[in-house]
Amino acid sequence: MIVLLLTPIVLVAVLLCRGYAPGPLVRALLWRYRLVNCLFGGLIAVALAMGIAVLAQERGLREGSAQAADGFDLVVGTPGSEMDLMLASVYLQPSRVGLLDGDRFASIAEDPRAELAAPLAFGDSHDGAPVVGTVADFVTHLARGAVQGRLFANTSEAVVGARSDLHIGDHFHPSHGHGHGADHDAHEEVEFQVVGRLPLTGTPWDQAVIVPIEAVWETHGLANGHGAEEGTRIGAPFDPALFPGTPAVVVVPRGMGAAYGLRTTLNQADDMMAILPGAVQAELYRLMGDARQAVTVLTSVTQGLVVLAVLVSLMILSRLFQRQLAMLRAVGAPMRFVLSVVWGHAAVLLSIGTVLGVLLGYGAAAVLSSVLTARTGVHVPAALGVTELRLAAGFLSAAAVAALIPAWWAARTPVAEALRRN
Amino acid sequence: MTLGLTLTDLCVNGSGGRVLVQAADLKVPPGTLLGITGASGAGKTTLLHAIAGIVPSEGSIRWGETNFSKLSDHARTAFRARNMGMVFQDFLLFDDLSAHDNARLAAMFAPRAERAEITVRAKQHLSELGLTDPERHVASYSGGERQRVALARALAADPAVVLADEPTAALDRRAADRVIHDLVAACRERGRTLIAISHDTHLLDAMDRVVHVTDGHLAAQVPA
Ligand SMILES: Nc1ncnc2c1ncn2[C@@H]1O[C@H](COP(=O)(O)OP(=O)(O)OP(=O)(O)O)[C@@H](O)[C@H]1O
Ligand SMILES: [Mg+2]
Repeated sequence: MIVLLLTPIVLVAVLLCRGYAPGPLVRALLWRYRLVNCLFGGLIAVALAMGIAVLAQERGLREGSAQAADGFDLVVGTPGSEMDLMLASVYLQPSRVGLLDGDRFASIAEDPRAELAAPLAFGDSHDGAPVVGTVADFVTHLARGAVQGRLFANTSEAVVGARSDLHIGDHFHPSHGHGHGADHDAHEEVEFQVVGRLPLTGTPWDQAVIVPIEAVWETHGLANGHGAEEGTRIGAPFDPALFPGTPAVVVVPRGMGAAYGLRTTLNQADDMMAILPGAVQAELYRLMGDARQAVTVLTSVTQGLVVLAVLVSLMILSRLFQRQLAMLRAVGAPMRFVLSVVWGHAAVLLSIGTVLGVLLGYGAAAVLSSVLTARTGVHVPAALGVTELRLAAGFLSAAAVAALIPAWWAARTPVAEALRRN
Repeated sequence: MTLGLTLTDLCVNGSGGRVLVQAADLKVPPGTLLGITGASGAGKTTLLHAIAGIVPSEGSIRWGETNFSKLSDHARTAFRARNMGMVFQDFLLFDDLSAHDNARLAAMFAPRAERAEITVRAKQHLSELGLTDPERHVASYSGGERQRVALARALAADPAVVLADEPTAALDRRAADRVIHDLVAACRERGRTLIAISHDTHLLDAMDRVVHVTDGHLAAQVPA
């Protein structure tokens, strides 16, 4: 496909230059107008880079967020905004979501289609990273079984995400709340020890500190889901009467069919809402598709305009060496040779601009990705795909074919008239 | 090979129906050195361009056996490449190329088989003309040296005819004399026909014949 897109430029090059050796003259033109040539090459590169960066970035974002939602097949919360529920659970963004009570949680956990139902608890942070309460089995699920160290076994132990600043063996006090409003002294008496570390998941959970949900509840002076007779046991099952409530339950279903079935069943209850984050994101992309189209059109228009400006400038530039071109014709150079010189100059400029544009676009996408990854914790990959290379190849070919027009215009001027010019 | 020129009823019309050049009959036998002189604006350049086939004209132009006026534009260009060497008043070299690359210009569009020969001849002419550093960019050459590079370029394809438009006008006396000497020698040596426009009496004195152009009309001058 890329080869096919490059066919026009190769074809023009072969047709124009066959049997000739215009190289030295093309080099002379490039060198003579080196500053202008650099400027044009740079313009072309920037215009193309924008298109490439947008494409690469958009795909990276889509892949990154799809991967982030990977471990979250089904999330259940109270009826409200699907987006808020997804942001709270998958992206650990503080959101306004209601609480599910113990009976609701029990009905989800006891459904045979659910392999695991993990309640989440938020509210605390450590050094800017969210402290999330949940059950040990969910940590195993997120880690795909590859926890370094071990899982938490009591309410003063914690497991950290792969990108956390904490290490196994570290002790820390959680702060109440998030960000600048966090109260660092509220939980002075609570201390956790880090006992395990998750592998990289490419999600915001990589920055999180994960503790037993009982610990979060206890810290806030709530019941811990278990009766006194249970001692210090943590994890499911919970006593519905002693369950303080959870804003989100992540369900690991037994297969994809179970996920859809569960969603339908749970959504029939009027006090619960079940979402498939993957589907919510897909819907989001569908809605954003129009915006993407608009951006794509805008960058294409920019590229077109830049090529137009460069070709018109080349046309004006060619007047500066029109006497030389006329001289070529006067000493017997065929029209096709003169064309090959002028077109060759434009084609080299366009090719250099295109290669620079691809590199620059990739660089911009890489920088944007690392900024996004650092800001959100979502691993946004930046890679050059076929789409971007196709864009570059198509751009180069179209521009090179368009460059025939100024070349023809320059070569066509009557020889005697051009020779008279000074 | 040498070529003579025969013009019959040549007429070049300018825009607005103005007659720029009119020549009822001009014969230049092969190997002749012909000077063309006349007042500014008389039509000398126009005449030379018509002879070279780069300005359209009526009447007949014959180069040897070839009826030049009957050829297509393409064929005329090819004929020029094969048979004519051109020298211009302001040299018209590529400043950013070496003297050698400038001199072997014709090799860049000549048939592959002739390229090596043109390149060799270009080098040879450069050294014969006393240009000892042919790889240097022409930008750093003096006017006299540039005109000699241009002469080497005109001779590289071994043309039968050399056409020159005021080849010494941009040079001082010493440089002009050297170019005149080299130009005449290069044509005499190989029996080339030379048609040179000039106001330079040194150049005109070295010609076999001089024609005077007045208002587009030709008149023979007393041979020098
Ligand atoms: N295409 C054209 N249409 C109309 N007039 C033209 C055209 N080309 C040249 N002329 C005019 O024809 C006249 C002869 O021009 P030409 O350049 O041949 O003169 P010249 O003898 O070479 O003069 P100089 O010695 O100044 O170079 C000039 O008056 C010029 O303005
Ligand atoms: Mg003139």
